[in-house]
Amino acid sequence: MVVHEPGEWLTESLQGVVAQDYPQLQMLVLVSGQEEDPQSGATRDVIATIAPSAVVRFLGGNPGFSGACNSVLNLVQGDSGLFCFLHDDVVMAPDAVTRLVDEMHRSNAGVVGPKIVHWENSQMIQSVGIAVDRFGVELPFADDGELDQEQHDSVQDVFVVPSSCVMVRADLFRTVGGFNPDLSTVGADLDFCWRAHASGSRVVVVPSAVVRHRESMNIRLTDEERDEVSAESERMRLRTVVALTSISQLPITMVQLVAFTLARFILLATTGRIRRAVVEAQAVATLPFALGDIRERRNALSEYRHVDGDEIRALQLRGSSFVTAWSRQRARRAGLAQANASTEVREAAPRGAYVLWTILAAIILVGSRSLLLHGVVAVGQMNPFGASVRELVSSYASGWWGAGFGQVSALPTGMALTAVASVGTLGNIGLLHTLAVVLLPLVGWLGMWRFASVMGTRAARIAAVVTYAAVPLPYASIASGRWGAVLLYALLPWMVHLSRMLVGLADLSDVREGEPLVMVSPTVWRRWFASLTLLVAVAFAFEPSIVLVLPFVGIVLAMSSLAHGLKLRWVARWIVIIGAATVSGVAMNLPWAGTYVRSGWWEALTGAPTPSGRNVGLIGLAKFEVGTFSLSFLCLALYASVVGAVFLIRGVRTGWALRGASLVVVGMLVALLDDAALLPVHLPEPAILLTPVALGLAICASTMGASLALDLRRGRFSWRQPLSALVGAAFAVGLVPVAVNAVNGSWHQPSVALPQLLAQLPDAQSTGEYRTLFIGDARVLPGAPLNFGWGIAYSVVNGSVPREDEMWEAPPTRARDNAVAAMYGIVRGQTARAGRLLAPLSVRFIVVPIIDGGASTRKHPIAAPRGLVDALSRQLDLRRRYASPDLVIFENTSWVPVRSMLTANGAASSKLAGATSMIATDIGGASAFGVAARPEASTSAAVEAGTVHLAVPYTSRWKVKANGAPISARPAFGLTNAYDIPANSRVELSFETSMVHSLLVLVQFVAWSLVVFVAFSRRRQFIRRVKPVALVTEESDPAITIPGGQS
Amino acid sequence: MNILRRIVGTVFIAAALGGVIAVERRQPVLSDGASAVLNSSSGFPQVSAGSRISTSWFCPGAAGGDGIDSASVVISNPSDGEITATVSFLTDTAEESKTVVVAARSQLAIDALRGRTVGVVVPIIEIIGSVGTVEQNIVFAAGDVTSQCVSQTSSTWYFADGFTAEGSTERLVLTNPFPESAVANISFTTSEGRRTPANLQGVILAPRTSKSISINEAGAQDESSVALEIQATSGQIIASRIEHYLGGGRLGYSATVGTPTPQSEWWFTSGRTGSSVTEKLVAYNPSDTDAQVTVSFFGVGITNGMPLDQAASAASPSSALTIPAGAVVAIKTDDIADLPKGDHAMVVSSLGNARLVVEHVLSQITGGSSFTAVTNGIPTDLLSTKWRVPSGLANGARNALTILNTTAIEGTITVSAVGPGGEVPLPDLVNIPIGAASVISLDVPLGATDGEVVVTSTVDLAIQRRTTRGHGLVGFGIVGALPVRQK
Repeated sequence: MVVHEPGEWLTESLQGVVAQDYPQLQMLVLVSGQEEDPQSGATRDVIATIAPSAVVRFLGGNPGFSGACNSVLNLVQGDSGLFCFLHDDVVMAPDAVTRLVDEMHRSNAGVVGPKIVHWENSQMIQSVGIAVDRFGVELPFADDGELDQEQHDSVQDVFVVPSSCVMVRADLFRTVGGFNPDLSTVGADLDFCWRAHASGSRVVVVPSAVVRHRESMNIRLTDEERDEVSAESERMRLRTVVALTSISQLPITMVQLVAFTLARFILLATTGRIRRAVVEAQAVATLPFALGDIRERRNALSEYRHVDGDEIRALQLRGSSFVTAWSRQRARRAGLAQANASTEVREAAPRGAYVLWTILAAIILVGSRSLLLHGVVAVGQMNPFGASVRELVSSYASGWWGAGFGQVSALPTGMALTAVASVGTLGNIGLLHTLAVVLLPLVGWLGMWRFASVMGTRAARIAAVVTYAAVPLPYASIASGRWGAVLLYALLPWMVHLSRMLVGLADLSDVREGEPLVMVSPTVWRRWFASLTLLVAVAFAFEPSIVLVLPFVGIVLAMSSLAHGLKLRWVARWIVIIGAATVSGVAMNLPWAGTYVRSGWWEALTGAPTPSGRNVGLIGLAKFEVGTFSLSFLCLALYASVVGAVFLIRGVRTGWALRGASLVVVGMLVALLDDAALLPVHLPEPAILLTPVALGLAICASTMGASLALDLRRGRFSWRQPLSALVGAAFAVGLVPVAVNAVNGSWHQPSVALPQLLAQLPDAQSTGEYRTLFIGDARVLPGAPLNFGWGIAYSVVNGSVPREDEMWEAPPTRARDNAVAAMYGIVRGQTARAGRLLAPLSVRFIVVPIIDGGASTRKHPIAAPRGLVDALSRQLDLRRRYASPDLVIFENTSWVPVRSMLTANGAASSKLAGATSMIATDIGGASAFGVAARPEASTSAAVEAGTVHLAVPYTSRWKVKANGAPISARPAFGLTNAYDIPANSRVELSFETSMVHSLLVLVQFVAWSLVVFVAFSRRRQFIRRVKPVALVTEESDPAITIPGGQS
Repeated sequence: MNILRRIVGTVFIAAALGGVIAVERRQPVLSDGASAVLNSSSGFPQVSAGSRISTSWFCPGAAGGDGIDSASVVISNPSDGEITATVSFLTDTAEESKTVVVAARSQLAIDALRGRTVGVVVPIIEIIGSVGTVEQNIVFAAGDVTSQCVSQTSSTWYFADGFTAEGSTERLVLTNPFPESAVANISFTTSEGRRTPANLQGVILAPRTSKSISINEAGAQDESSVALEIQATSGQIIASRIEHYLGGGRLGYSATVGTPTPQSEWWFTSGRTGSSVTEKLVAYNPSDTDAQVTVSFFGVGITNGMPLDQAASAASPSSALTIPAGAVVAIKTDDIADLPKGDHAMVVSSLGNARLVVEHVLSQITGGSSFTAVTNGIPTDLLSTKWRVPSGLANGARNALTILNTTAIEGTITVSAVGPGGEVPLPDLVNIPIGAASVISLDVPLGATDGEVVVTSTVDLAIQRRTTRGHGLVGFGIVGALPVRQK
């Protein structure tokens, strides 16, 4: 008997052994821990009292059950006997050993096990042996808790008997080397029995021998530890399969295993069991890391393998244990349902969830088929990533942010995250870009499925996910290229789910009246908080407005909870948790997040405003009209769930009904106020502001789903039932548009967007690098538009379409200020020479977009700001290169390339500062000085004596060497960089990264690694706790000697 | 659930819902946009009061082939620091340019013709910074001409008055200061109606060039009324008109930039009636609908032509006159009953906010000779308390400034001149009272400096000046001063 952290049950277990009627029984008790421990003394006293003849050995630590059992190899001398291994929470019937021994002899078995019944109720079977399929997946012959009606009382060969009570021939135990000590927690019985089979021994269950098992380990484990055990079990199962399957069967088994795991992953993921899916996938993915261990186990087995793989396979279950278990479970539930039909309310069937996820998967696949086949159209924020993974990493580490006019600055964390994420697509950035658009709605649905578990019913989860999927927001956002909104749509349910768990709002039970509040262990709490922080950090990295949206959601939820009667302490807890997670998420984005500490930070978070308001209107907002979406008016029917939630929900779910309705109404009010520009500050775009509304709708629907399934069915017939039927009917109408829109295949993304229209602009390779200034309505500008005033915004991109780093707003620089002054001159009529002011900044094209294909379409165009094109037309250096209803392009005839050799006039003018020199001299005609693939990349060229000009804000970080000799930089035009080259030479221009920046990037990497570690560290903690110790050595003296006969 | 909680929650939601409905009922507002170009009067001659990065001045140009003696642009720098300006001379072929520096508190005259005896030269001056004003002067035996320059291009230009009768010539000068070609359509309206000659459609103006078009040769020979309309279908341009009056009741020379946008109200301060005077207000209605206008007069003892006992009084409108769509109508002030003879100011106002182009033509026979002065009106938006005269005023000139108080309140006027000592008030021209809606004419005292003249007032004014014709010629020319735009 192995004793570990014994309880009051030990007495009974010992008494069971002592009471055995088998005459030649010798008892060895192996106790974990040190003999000197105070508790060890108590244990020893109990053993001495009940089983004075037992030999007691202290193991000095916790080697695990397998390690402890293996100590008999040293402590017991002789091979002719039998070992019966017991947990300390197993009580044997008095004749159990006798019956096991008898059957072992009768069957000539190597391993036998008893019928195990429940500790409290011996009429309930715990195990009568276990079948196993080729993948090591176990299928008990009897369901846990099955009523013992002697239906399993026949001796039979099984693949595995549980290790809680197992009898083994001593010689066999020595031959196979005992249990695998590495499998200290789980999987030891499977491994041992498999190896016993391989050695040619039978494994038999003897139902006439009965033991009661308390399963105290499972009781002692926390939920978290139980999860860790489950994950560990998965990993060990797969390693056992690979280690013990015969070499001839291994290849095909591996292929089947991978395919089977993939199928399981999809099934589990689509039915909301994400954690389980991840665990199983992780188990497969980590197999290569265990090759050394597997090889050792295979070598050891080869020494005593007497049975080939086919014979072993014959002992295993044909097909899949999962499928068999599912069929059995289904039949069992059907029986239970039939039995309970008269008294219980029927919960939504599991197949409802399968059908739901099948439909949703089909919607994603059908609706996105064009995007999957041809890629996402570069509309709005969905510009393709032009850089490779290496380039992204290189740019991020360089400390030169090339966005706009460039500057020495930390780059957006999103670039690094994009590079990391591309590992998942094997470095295929294009595929990552497509999946990042197509799969995000699915992530949101899964989050909603997870969140809706709070309602406690499957019907609620289904209703929540259906509503969340029926809301036009993600599809309209994809159509108009609002990727930030799609990201928030995907992450917000997860964030709210985690925050409510952190607050302590437990899953609801239909029998409770008050909302249950629970506290979890600090470890779990830390993990959840780390997960929430991670989500906020990722969201902030791509859509900084999350720092406004999440607190807004938190405040609305907290206030509605307060109104619902939640105590102030818990309300405050909600706000504090969300606030702390927000701050932590932002901190993880340092040093880039530090660029927001400046004037204009609000606009940097919210994007450029539309001063006169977007004027989408209440109906437009209610229809989530942020992009093209057919039949969106039908989606107004989804709001029926809000009405239903307010008027129909009773009992414990009213809290969530109120929270959901509050999110919808307050969220809509805020969106509408911003839409009409009635707030003192502007807020993020409607697509962002409407994500809480979508979430609120889903929460309301979730409460309605639970209510329809439970409360209303149980209630007496009243006005509630007809009203709920009406709500249900309206709700069904709201689901239609998504299916209709899916037919389009690309969620109505335009076939031609602004980047395609700009394809006519010349390639930088042929003319030198240039910049394009987009000016117009903020809603149609590419990149990161900045407010200019009077309803006009602008953005500056290198080349004609924004690079990935230009999707974030860069901090202001003198260069930007100069460009703003020039634009001010244009818009306010203060100069006709803005072109010359922009020339040193390499602004070659000024584009006024009107139709971008996303926010502004031919059908619903957003006009250019009044008078803007006229104002540009009055600039003396601007040539109108293209004009159409879609856009107007002006070319600055005075421009110079970003890296250029200035003309003599330009060089002379560059030595002066201010508008005078720029306006008085036309510096056009400069020649390009190389073309760099990335903004921070070096270039070199052979040049004549003259002035090299770099059109970036003045900095000494850019170094020039002429024939290897450094040339000092000087300010050009009081603004940019110039290098006077004294003679004909080969000149190299390069950027020097600062050590401080490199250090900051390193610190950031460590911070992210730590948070990720805490968020995903469940398994490691548990494994560490049960790390085996080897206290019983080969040199130990035998404690028991088996006489010549069996004992 | 506690009923109180349900009530609180429902009220909470209802309140938010009420807010939603309230917000939905408001009316949307328009954003400003590029308001500088939206202002319909920004294309007229004026000086901006605010700071500017640079100011471009587009002058009407001079025709070397007309036999003029000289043409120049005068850059006035009233500030305490020197200013830099780039002067470009656009012709029908090559462009020439040079950078000049104008010393503090001084003027600089730059020759525009640069020896050319044929073709048209259009000067464009770009002054870096906010200060500095520009005018163009032509010295010609038929009468010197001072012309205003404008700071903004336009895609539309209008001229209400044109004259080709009895050997008079009219030349339209189109200038494209941009680096891209511009295309313009030209039409003219005579007493016989509107005409769009094919050869004046799709006129291409090469980048940075100017082009002269003879209206006489374009089919409007011997016309006493030729209104022009220029529409740039691509790009923006400057349109100016150079006329040489040789008969038909007119004598003299004029060069002026056109009117970029029709207005609903035009102010003139240098009107005159008399036995030897012919005065006309030429109104051109380029729109597709008829317009009705009234003319109100201001002057000593005048209220809409009726003698009054009071020294001055606010004007009341005349009876409405109809200007048919697309037509030119000459309003002869002689025909207005009981309008006292003598000097007066006028305002032409349209009813119903109709947009018109109005020019003032004054011909007078005096001392056996005659002269003709043609001037554009001043839009209401440009009425200002501060005005500048870049070329200054002739020393000792009589009635050099005619000033109309456009308000119903009394005010005072101070006239200063910019000289080496800065801006100094002229003797006897400090805090001169001006009655409500009244006109005064000021003489330039002897000994005044030749620099730029600045007029400031406590009330909004309209100012035009009378310039000497030189060469011992009788009469005067009329040209507006530059309003300093406060808005």
